[in-house]
Amino acid sequence: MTVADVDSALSRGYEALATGDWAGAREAFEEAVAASDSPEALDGLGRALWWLRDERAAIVHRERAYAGFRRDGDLARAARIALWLSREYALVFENDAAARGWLRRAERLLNDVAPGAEQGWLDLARSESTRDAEQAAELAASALRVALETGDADLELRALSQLGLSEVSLGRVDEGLEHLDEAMAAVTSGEPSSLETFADVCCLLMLACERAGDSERPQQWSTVLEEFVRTYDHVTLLAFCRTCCADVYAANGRIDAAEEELVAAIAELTGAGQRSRCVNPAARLAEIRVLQGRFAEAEELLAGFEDEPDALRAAVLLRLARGEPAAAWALLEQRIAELGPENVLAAPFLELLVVARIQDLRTEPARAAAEALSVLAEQPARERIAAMAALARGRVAASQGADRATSLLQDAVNGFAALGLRLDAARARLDLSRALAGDSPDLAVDAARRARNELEALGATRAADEASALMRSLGAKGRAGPRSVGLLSRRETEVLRLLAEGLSNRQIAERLFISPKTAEHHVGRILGKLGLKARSEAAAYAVRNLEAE
Amino acid sequence: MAEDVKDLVRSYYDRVINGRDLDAVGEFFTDERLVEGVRRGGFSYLQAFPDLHVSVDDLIAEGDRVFCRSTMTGTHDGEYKGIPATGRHIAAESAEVFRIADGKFVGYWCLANVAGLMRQLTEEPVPAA
Repeated sequence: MTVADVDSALSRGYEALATGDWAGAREAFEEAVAASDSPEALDGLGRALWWLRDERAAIVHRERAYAGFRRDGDLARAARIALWLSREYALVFENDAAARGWLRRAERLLNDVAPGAEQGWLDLARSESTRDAEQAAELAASALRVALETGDADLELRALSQLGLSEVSLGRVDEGLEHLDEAMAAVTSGEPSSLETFADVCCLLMLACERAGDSERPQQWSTVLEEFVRTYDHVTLLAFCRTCCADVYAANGRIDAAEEELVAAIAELTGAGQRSRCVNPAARLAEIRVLQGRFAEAEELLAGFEDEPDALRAAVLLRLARGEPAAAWALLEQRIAELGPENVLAAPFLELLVVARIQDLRTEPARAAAEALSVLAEQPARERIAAMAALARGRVAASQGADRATSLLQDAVNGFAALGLRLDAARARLDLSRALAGDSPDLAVDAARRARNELEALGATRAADEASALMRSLGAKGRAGPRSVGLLSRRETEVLRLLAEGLSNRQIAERLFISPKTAEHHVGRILGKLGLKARSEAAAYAVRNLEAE
Repeated sequence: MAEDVKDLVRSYYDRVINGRDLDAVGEFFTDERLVEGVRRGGFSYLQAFPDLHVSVDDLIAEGDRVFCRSTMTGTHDGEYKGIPATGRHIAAESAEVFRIADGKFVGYWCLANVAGLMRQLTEEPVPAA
């Protein structure tokens, strides 16, 4: 291979990285490494491997690239790689000693580098590694200043989203989410930035929304994201973080799709001995298991990290579902005290506290928690919290048999529905139905039926069963025993529909943003469940049995 | 109406007991003997448990009555019914009925778990494992 060949391999590699063709990038950089072993080639190969989710190999190659750049005297690039390594060790492998070591290396190298964008990258890394949110915000702001001075677009967007996340952690939620929205707008509009930056900004947005209990935002961005991914043909891009992907599905009320992503995410992470970059997928899946009434599995998922902040919500939901409200409210009170009740981050916990207190026949503390939630909802642009507060006050009123319960609960249903939060709306409707049962049984049956249909469609089995039971107690025909949604899961039905359209596994995978392997797996299960031998038989079955959408 | 009478009970605990304003007892009760009795009782409990806090767990209103279930918590830092301070943390539940007329308490009945409270103060502590 000549020097020109190596150069051409490198530029093909960069081109592939920029367009999200990770396999192509790996191939090109492997060629370049075989020919020259240059730090450039090793670095590119490391980046491609990272996208292909081989984080360990990525680290090995980039560590070699680091050594190469140092040897060649390119301290700035060596420092950039050191910062990346520090982050990977901390985030994915929980190896704090290695993370600190690489951060020190970068600091030392940058002592000998003229001030420039690298100083900003260093501030960003420091911001990410500190546990003190105030300090994290200051460092992110400093990185942002450097980015604007040096015109480094990647640094600017990364620093902006890190600033946003720090602000959310400090309780300055509206300000923080605004910064994250700005960064998201920039990365999805194709402003010059690398796909790594795109991935990071998405991750931080998800994490911030998780902390803020804001599930409408990921939902709003998901449409933009899917469009972006389609335009740029980056099928693999949304799969970079299955947990985030699951969050998007869950926000849209597609619980079975979220479940599928989470199961795969946990298997992958466990297999690789890694942890999630953002939200803990086991905690997320445990919440879904509670919704499905699969308590033992939820408990198993939470075993070992029940006391971690990540797992609190799932742990509380499990206790409530099992009828252990005192244990649930004790956990919640502790967390709310840590956050401060006037902190908007406490809102989702206050909502649960109301449920736990009512279940424990302590309506006065329930009322106080609902009041605290109402106070939080008074700020502008807090529609979701306002709906949560209406639900909480409605539940308190219902527990005291007060007349205003129905109008408050109706407000909650309307509020959630207007925000497109289908699961929340359906659960509020179930509460409304209970409150109506005494005075207006006909309206109650109607509300329970609507709640049941919606909950069933969303995969919230347990609440759907509650709605059925309520219908039966009101004299209507509710389904007894386990619900039947047909032989196929919703996702499998979706796959069957596409199969009947004559799509190949690869095309189905692209349409549903899943891997071809997963699509193949679905097709296999569909054939097995339906007792069919070939795709053509399945297509014929679909034509006969599936209603048109 | 039901909320108004419940509010009266809430503000009584907020001000008189948790707010340490025994002088305000007279604003809530009409009967002089009741005022005196509640004041004396409150005083002795605050002496025995200086950080006394009463949290109202449940209120049920019907007609002119409010039923109140509450929990008092505090640290035993003064003499209580002849038992010198033990420094122990206590919690005891009470059930009370308030009868209300013209925005004041005209009748009061209380059943507190004093036996449970005494047990918490006198029981041999369980040795630490």
